[in-house]
Amino acid sequence: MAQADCNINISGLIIDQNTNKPIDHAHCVIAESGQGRATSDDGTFNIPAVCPGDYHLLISHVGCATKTIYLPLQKDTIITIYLDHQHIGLDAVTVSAERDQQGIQVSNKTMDQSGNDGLADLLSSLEGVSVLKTGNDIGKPIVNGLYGNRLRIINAGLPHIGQNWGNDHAPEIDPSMIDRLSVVQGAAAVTEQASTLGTIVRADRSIIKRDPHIHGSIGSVYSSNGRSIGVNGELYAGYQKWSWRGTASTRGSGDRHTPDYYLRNTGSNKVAGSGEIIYHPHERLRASLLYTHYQTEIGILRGSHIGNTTDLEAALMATEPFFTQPDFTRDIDNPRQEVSHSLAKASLSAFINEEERIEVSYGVQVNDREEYDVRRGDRSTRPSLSLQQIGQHFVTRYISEKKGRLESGIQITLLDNENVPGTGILPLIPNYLSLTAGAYLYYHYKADKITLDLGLRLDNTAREVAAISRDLPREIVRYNESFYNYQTAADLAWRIDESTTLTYSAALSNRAPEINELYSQGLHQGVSGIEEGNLNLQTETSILQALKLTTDLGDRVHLRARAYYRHFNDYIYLRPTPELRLTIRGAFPVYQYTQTDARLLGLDATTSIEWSDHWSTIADVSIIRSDDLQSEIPLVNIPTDHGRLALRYAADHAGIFSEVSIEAGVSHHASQSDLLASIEFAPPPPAYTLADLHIAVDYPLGKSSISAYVRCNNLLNNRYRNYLNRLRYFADEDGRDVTLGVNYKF
Amino acid sequence: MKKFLLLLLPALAFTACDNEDPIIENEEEVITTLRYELTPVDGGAAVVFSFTDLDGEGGNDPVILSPTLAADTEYQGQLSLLNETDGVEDVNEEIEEEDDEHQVFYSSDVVTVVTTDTDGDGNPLGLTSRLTTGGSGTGSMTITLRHEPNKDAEGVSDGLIANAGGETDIEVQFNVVIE
Repeated sequence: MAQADCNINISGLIIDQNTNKPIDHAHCVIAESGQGRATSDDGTFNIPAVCPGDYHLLISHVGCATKTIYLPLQKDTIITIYLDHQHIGLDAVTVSAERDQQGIQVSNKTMDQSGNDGLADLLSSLEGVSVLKTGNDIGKPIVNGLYGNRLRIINAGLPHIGQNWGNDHAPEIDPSMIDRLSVVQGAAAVTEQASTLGTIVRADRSIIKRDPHIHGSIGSVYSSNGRSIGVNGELYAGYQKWSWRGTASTRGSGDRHTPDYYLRNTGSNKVAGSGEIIYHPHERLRASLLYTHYQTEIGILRGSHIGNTTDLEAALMATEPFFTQPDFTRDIDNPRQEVSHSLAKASLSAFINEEERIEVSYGVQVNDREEYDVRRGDRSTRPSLSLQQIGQHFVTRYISEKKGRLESGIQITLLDNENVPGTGILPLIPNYLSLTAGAYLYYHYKADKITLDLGLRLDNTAREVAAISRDLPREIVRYNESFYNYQTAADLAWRIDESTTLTYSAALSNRAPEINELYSQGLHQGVSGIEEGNLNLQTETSILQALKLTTDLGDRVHLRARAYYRHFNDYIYLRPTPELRLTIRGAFPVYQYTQTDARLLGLDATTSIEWSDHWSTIADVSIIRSDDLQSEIPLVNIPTDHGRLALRYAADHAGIFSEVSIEAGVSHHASQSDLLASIEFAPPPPAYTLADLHIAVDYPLGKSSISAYVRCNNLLNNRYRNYLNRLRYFADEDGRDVTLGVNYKF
Repeated sequence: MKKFLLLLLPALAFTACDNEDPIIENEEEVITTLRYELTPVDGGAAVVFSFTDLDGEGGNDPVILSPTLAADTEYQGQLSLLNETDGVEDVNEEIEEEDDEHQVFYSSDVVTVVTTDTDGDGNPLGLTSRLTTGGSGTGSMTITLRHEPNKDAEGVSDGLIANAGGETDIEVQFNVVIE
């Protein structure tokens, strides 16, 4: 090739997509030729004397995941690149510029280096998010004190269905299938149907990059505690009119270990995969098909399987759980859960013009849950609980970005919940069919100093229930019911100056009683109590007010803090009654769903201080208080006050490595003092402090790269119990765990 | 707005699922009835302690019968467990088949109970027993059936329940009156 051809000039501007400010000292390198430049103070760069050809441009910057852009080059080119830049240490960034007061997102680094963490564990990297656990593989997110029926997940644009009511039912979503995980609060939450109390978790997939070469990644993870081994891979390509992507992931884990003993039957296995095809014949039309499947088998600590309150008392007295064995095993016996979840979705986006578009989606989800107990006779091979839920979703949206953003839509969800016969046990939850239809309106307006978000949503849920009587002879009892739900929310953000924004949010919303709150009947052996639904429950109402401050003190100190006050009228909860009901297994306390007025009051704050270009300190703290206002007792399962302090070193380059980071942290969890001892089986566990260490490096290989990380949790092998883990009555938490992860991106 | 109405058309594709009757499970694993039949070793009429709860943990309260025992008497005890949800099913058979996974414990402050049967490994099972009364008095007696106890743990083979572990399938307390 003649030298004269190699005179193409690439110039460009790198911008922080969250603040719209230019980013200086970002590295822009052509992978194929090695030519590159760093951006200057105004965020611009210029790479001269490039030969024509198809290239990949790599853009990297401290605190950002390296971005790759496909660049077919024939002439001088000017490009503007938006980078998802995070302030060093702030582990979360705002969801996007246009909804910046609404949500917080788990950082890309945390997603990439997730190890064996589940969805809830990843979310707990965000301030204000905790995990309600049953052992280490079953975790439900708690956001600002909301969980279960009060906190729904939007997965790939559809409300995640399943037996969400169960405290030991983890969301059936694998982190390998999603790219972005965020908590959305405020007016923007009304855009989703399951957003009953104005707070949702979003699990989203990113847009497939347009690059005709096949790219992807393959990774492997090993964890010492449980000796788990995981493999995951991804492949994708984006052509002129087509793009596709496939992901696959699997993991197997054996018994976990506390500092002193193995936790018998705490292994788990999972398989997850997804496939996606997108067709975009021209710029105005985009059609996509998505299929995801997730399947898992999870062992539950053998010693936590109890028959009555005497067994529970014996377990509380024991120094180590019953059935503890001296050896490691990968065997999974009863009690265990077998869960699978499939999702299929077809969607169409049509752009009417530059600013307006319409989106239509239809989706189907199938959720199967089987729970196996230790049973008499040969019945252990039959599930004690077997539920199938099938959801159909129809979603339409109209989005206009003419002036600000105006969005409206209609969503319909049809759920069919069925007990699969053959358990030999009367079901805890009845069969039902429910149809929810709703519409929303959302408006976002941004002026110079002020940003305003308004949301309004209305839903109707009609349910047909077929329950089985508890009196003899057993017979089928049918119920029909209908509930209206509304949601109104407003957020007003005031940009006081370049670096400080103050946001006030207010929301009024309500939630219809869920199926378990109305109809559950029976003995919950896991918690040694009889749970009774209450047909007289009314809709619960919540009023939320929150104040959020985001500020930079100089260039080196960043702070984000949010204080909130949520008041509930007719808060639905499980109340212990004075009754002790006699059964052949002994006397059990009776719990009944009832309503009260309640409040949640909390503060979440996170801050980072950059001492130099390499060193920084990160601190975050979450505090929450709860009250049942009628009986003046606290609510149950509210996270304890906790905080974490970490020291971090980060460098663009260190020897042969790029993107080196080392983080050492100490976290402290207070004891749950905000709780009434008489309604608990055992006093809350004492406070505990844990140390963790996290080292990550990237090793560039031309266009591809290898990243590796080591993460050590419970570094000092401390013995402790966690108030939010149901197994706290039976066993200590996991001891030290060292996780090694390697990921090859090409 | 017309566009919107058009978009709604696919909603018709929602198939109306027929809401069939749920299957009422045959609760074959349930134990509704415990009978502890005591026959005086030196002859005389047998007495039966019983606990009956046909509709399980909900519905009606269980019916408990606690007959009076004679003072200074030795009884031969036979425990019968039944599932009377639908007809009468003998649960003892299942327990005898899995005798190594089950053990019945008796504890009382007024009578002495010693189990007289063993499982295949020679460890106590407890479906048959010998009950001895002392002088007249009142107190209580608790009968407990454990599933998957650790029969090798300290004292368990002597009838001590404290270290047994496992799950409680039955725990019934009777008032005992000795005259």
